[in-house]
Amino acid sequence: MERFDRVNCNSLKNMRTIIPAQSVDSFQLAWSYNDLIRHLSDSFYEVERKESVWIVSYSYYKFWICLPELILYQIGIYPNDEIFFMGIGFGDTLRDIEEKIGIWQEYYDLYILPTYQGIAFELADNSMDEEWIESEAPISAIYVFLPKKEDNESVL
Amino acid sequence: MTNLSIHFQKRRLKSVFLLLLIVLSSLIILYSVGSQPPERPNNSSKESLSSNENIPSFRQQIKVLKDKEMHQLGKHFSKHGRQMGYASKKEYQQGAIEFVEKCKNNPAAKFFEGKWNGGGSLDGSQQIVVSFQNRTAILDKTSGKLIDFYTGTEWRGLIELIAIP
Repeated sequence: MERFDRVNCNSLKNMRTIIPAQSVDSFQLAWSYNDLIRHLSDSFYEVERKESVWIVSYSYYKFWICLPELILYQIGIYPNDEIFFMGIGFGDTLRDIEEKIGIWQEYYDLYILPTYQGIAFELADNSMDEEWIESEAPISAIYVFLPKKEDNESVL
Repeated sequence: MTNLSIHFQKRRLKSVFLLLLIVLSSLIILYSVGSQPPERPNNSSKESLSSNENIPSFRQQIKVLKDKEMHQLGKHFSKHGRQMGYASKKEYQQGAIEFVEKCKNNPAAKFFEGKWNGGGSLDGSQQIVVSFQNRTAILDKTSGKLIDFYTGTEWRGLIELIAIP
């Protein structure tokens, strides 16, 4: 059963709203590309056009637009001190997630919450000489996305 | 027979002779064109044939970004690199580069292209899968940046896979 959590903006100073599988702040998943562009300050975004996706960079956000539909399907949020989800923000670790939210699962290179579909965390890498420890690596990105329709598991 | 009729007959004969001459010369021209031997390739076409043979296949053109760290190198070394026998992240990264470079010239190695559907910063990117002898490397098609290198020939999260000859 899907559960979505609306974080109260007033509970923490400057905190913004993440609703998994739906929105981040005022940006709504499933918007058209034109809807998104209308909500951005004209001169402060860049669009990277790839074969099957466009990526719009704006402030500490990135927006993934799928082709050919031109629909916003993923929002990436990068380090800042304004956005939290259930008290978890940038610099927190998987240990903090366990304490404040509960179980997490690894999903490819991301970490998802079985009880909240449509949100995932990415952990920071470290320098060439340091040992990388999963439970201690800080969160470096949060992704909010529409649930995937197709998946592929292949073995040669 | 009057002089006049003789004159006309001579003219008619002349016209017929002229017509026959034209037909005959046309036939000779046509025959000579049709019976010409096929054109042999000259030096320049020989060059183009040999250069076609030297054009690298698509897999040989795949680039590997050597001076940039693998995506999530620390995590991937921790999860796969040590098990594969590499002592450090640097060795693991170098091992991945050498693996791909060797596979590019190995017809037994398998190459695929697919779209990453696993979310995160790479979502929607076109990626190249290289598999040989129970090892697999993944790299970004456009930049050539290494994404992963591990034991096994399974890959997950990629869709719309096509084999690269």
